[in-house]
Amino acid sequence: MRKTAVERLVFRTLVIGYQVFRALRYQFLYSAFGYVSKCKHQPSCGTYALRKIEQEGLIVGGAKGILRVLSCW
Amino acid sequence: MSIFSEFLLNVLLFLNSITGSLGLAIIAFTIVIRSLLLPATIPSIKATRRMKEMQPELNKLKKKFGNDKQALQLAQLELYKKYNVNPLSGCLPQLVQLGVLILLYRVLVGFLGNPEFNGSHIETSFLWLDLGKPDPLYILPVAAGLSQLVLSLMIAPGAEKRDIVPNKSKKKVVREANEKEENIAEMAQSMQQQMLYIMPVFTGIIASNFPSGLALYWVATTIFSIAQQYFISGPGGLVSYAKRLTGRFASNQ
Repeated sequence: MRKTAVERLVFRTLVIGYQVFRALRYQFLYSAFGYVSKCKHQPSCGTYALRKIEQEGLIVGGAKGILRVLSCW
Repeated sequence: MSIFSEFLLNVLLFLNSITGSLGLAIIAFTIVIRSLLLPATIPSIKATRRMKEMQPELNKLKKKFGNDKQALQLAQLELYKKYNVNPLSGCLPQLVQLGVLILLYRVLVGFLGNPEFNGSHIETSFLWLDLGKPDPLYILPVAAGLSQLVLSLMIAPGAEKRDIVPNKSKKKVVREANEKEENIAEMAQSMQQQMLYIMPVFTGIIASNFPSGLALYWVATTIFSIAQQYFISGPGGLVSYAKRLTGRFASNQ
């Protein structure tokens, strides 16, 4: 799939925005519970999902992302 | 879902009847909940600290096993066992935590919006506050932000792992793409640094718009986290930050 410049920009913004969200969530949950479980994959499940969606389309990418999250229990 | 809400509400009302003050009840409520969670959180914090200690050995393993993921994972597991660390890491516990938080929020805010029990109104004044309304003096929101900042500084070192794909590919195209990702990750990393200081501001703003009972809960639980973190892992990044601050004041004179 050829990606347009707009698509690439959108995904880059999504990834960065997701990192911001991750940081916020980490601080927030740490305040509330004193501990946050950390992702044992690298990159994080969410970033992986976004990358896969960008590379292989919404359905296949989304499915792979969900599978990875489920394997992370 | 509503069974849990009922249960939490009953705990709160029970504490209210014991202490006679809704403010004290909320603080006690926080302590009870966090104490119940201690058996789960303390081992995890200790494990995090031990994982930091074994980081050099982990890196050695990574160099040794490089591309052989299976062998690497096996060796990692053995290392974890040796240090008695259970890598209880994963994304899903966070979802559970979020769910619990949403539940607590609904219980507290719902109750504070209409504080009655069996038809009789419950007293919501506590010190200078009306717990059902936002703090008019903004003391609690500031306390919420400050305590959040302290906690963030304590856990800051190595709080977030670099979220990148290892750049070991032999193909130049893939390597360049990975480099771009690394740049993005670096940008994200510096953003996370700034997030350390921005988050407390957000917390303060949000706390000033909600019933002060909720803000009271938030301050109580953050202080509990600070105490917990301090007793298990020490002051953490707070020390270096304080040094930098005093250093700056000294050089300005």
